[in-house]
Amino acid sequence: MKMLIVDDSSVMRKRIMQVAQNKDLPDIEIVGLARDGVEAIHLTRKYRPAIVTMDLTMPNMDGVACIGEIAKVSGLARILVVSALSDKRTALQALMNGAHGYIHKPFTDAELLAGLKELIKD
Amino acid sequence: MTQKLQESDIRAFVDSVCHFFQHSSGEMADVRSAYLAEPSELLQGYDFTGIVDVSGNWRGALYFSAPGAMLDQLLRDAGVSAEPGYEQQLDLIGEIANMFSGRARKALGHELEISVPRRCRGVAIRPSGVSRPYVIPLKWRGHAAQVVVDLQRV
Repeated sequence: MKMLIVDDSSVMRKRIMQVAQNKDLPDIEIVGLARDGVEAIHLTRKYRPAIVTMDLTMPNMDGVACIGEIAKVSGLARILVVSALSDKRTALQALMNGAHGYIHKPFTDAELLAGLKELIKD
Repeated sequence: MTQKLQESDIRAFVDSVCHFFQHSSGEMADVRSAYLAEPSELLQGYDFTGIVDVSGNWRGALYFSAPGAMLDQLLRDAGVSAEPGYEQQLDLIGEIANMFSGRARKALGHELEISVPRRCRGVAIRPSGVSRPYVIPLKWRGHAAQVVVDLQRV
């Protein structure tokens, strides 16, 4: 299962990558690491990932806008928002634009793992 | 026309700081009482400072300044690196400032619009001078750090 990680923080990209490679998850192949929404759309076109983790506060193109674009480019991609923004309005915007789940930073490995499992289960 | 921060507003930031350390390390930070600095006072920062600029119905910025040793410990705890380096410390300081402001937004409302964090090394903090900023000192595993909230409602 192809996965794309989108976050402007290299530390966060690495943490998400480590959790995604957990043995409790089915074979996940990380096909790309994007630092902003523009890179994410480019990598989505190129690799057609089945799952995407998406930060929201990023340079060039923010996550909410990027989710809408990814939904247009690859309607089958399932998107898990992983963001520090924890207000209800932002979460609703992301879900209305096409996200399938939402996890707040800071997260524990168990929380992210559960979020990814839920995403894959559906 | 700007309005000063209320004590309840500062509480939202203190709660964000407490939540971050508790949730990411399982250990509470010792968050001291916030105090008001002088409007034009140059505040001494630690090794790294993350800055989030704020707009919307607010003006100003949030600063989180911490020593490299604290960031190293957090990076090791997260399993990101056994030997953290400068780039990771710099990255993390911005990410923490982002988390503090992102969670405070939950209490203060979505009109508190936050920027992508800026990251600096060894910066002294010069507040905007519009009003007196709040300084929130804290200690975690023996490492002192501070959050500076320099915001006004507009």
